[in-house]
Order: sequence, then C-alpha cells, then structure tokens
Amino acid sequence: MNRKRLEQILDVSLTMFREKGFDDTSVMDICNACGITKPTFYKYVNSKEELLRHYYDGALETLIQAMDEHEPSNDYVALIWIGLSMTASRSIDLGPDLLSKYMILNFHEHTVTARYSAGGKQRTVEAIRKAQEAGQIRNLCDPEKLFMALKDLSLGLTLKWIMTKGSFPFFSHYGRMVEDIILPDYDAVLKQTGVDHRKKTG
Amino acid sequence: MKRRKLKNEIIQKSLDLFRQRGYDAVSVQDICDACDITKPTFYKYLASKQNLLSYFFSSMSEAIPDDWYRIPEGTDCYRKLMEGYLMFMRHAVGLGADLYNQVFISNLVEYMGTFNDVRAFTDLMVDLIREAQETGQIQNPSDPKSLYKVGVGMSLGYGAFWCLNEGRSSLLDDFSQDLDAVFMHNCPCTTQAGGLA
Repeated sequence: MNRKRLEQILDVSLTMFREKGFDDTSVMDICNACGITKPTFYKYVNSKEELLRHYYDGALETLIQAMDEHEPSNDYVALIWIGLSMTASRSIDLGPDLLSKYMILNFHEHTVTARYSAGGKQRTVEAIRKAQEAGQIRNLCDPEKLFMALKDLSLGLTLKWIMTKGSFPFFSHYGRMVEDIILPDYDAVLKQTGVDHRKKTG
Repeated sequence: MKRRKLKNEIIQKSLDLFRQRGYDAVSVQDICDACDITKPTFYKYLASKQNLLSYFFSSMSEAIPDDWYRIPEGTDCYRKLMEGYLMFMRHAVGLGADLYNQVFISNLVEYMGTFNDVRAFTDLMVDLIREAQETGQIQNPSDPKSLYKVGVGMSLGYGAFWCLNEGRSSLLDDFSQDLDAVFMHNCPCTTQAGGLA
C-alpha cells in the first residue's frame, strides 16, 4: 500500500466523476486513467462508492487545525463559522450530483456523516460559549443545543440544495440563517478584535 | 370517483405493507395481491413502487386539517407554532425510520417536491412567529420569514439525522428543545431582554 497511489486514484476518479458523471465512470475507466490494473484498484478501495467517503479523509484534522490557527484572534464569530462551514464546503464542492450519490450511500448504510464527529463538535460548542461570554453573540441559550440546531440545519439545507440541483447559493443562505440564529454583535467583535465583519460582507 | 378510491386503497395498503415488512421486502406483486388487483391495474395508477412514497408526504401537506388554520382567541402562539413543525415530524415518526429513509433516497434520486412549502401553512406560521415576538414569548428578533425557514430546514435535517441514525435519537424532544434555543424561548437572555430590541 502506498499513500501516493491512493491519492492518485482519488484525484483521478474525482476529476472523472465531475467530467463524465458518477454512473458513467467505471472502475475500468479509472484504472485505465491511472495506469493500474483492477486488482491493484481493489487493493486500495472496496468499491466506486467508497471513493466518495475517502474524499472526506483528513476533514476533521483540517478543521481542528484551522480552528487552532484562528483561536488567538479572539474573533469567536469567525471561529463558529469555521466550525460550521468547513466540512460542509467539502460537500458543496462535490456538486449536487456527486453529493447526491454520497448522501444516498449514507442513507442506505445508515452512516452518520463526519459532520457530527466529536472533536469538531466540542470545539465549535466551545467557540459558541466563548462568543456568548465575550458578548459577541446575543443568543445566550445552551451552546450545545444551538450547535445541534445549526448543524442539523446545515444538513437539511444541504439536502434541499441537492434535491433542487443546487438552485440557490448554499453558503450565503446558510450564512444568513446562522446570523439570524446566533445574532452576532459585530460592533462588539470590532471593538474586541479589530475585525470588521460588515466590511467583508458589505 | 371510483378510480380515486382504488388509488387511495393502493396507497394505504402499500403503506401498511411497508410498515410491516420494510420497504425493500415488499414487491409490487405483494401490493397487487393485497389489493386484489393485477399488475397492469397497479401501473395504470402509479408509475412505480418508488412513486408511492411521494404520496405519503404530499398527502400530508394536503391533509393539514382545516381547523388547524383557525386560531381561537387566547391561543398560545408559540405552542401553536411548535405544533405546526411537530405535525410534520410526527408524520415522519409515523412512517418509521425505514420508510422515511426511503423518502429521502427517492427524493435524492429524483426530487418529487416532497419538501416544498405549502403556501397557506407558511403564511400562518410566519404570522405566529411575528406574534410570539411581539408578545415576548420568543426573544429572537430576526425576520419572521427567515426564522420560519430556519425551522423548516431544521425539521428536514433532524428527520434526516434520525434516519441516518436508524431512528435511535429522540426526534421530537431533541427538535423542540433545540428549536426553543434558536427562537430564544425560555432563554437565559430573557433577564436582560431590554438590551435586545
């Protein structure tokens, strides 16, 4: 097993799925494009579907790292947003068709997706609590409940996005809803951190 | 009239069968046997087994009872609002995780409009949110329309999570408690509500 080969298979297959569609890309096509045989392919992956799971490899590590890097800024509103949106952006990047395949796979096999991984949850709940304590958001209800609401809202909105074939810009819709829920006080954030969120969005 | 009756019977019988044996284990032939009809008759009314699933939910939005829209004087707006959301969640629970799971899969394969808004329902829910804000039952001051959509998105997400989790989580309780937090109903912020307006 070598990691490089797996990465090659993942890269190539993802490009092909995007270009030709998931159903029209066979394992043989992927093998040909990678210059490998089928037995080699199956040494690395059990099925075409499983490739989609691998696409989320390292998502949690990337998330934690991004949150670690951002934490010292004390801009907890931005930290919450990183916690909520980073894994979702991997999903949205797949596009409605591929993501639909991935979600169907999850519904068939009853796999709860990486979005609920304990590490990411704990960090984001903590960010919500700190934002409340610092007066950066005005919804002071139980951070854990707020997190579950925000996360499941993201799942619901993602499903609607897939079903309507990406008919709305996911992140601007979700972002506005997150604001409507947590009620950020951007003046307080500006005063405490020097970061002006209004400038960014306006 | 008779056509409609038979179609309803097929839908109802298939729902019973799906519940008893699970969606995958029930064939079109099984449904035909239970209804005492032939396959050609089945296909005169319904395009496929999967097509049946759309009826369990579309019938739901059509089946909001008329008197649900009547709001007597002194109605607890927030409770009514919560009931509105829970009506859909209970329907999901009634179908069971296995069948609701199939509803998601079918809609992902091809969207059947199952989760579209019902106009009259939406309007009433938005009014209820506005009134709950005005009477101080909820402290979240965001746009009522947007808050309504948040609740709808959540109900879809909680239902999906419930299916992915094979019906193990406590769907209704979790949903209503977390929705309380979103709307800021009985929230600790109430003590300093003056600063929120």
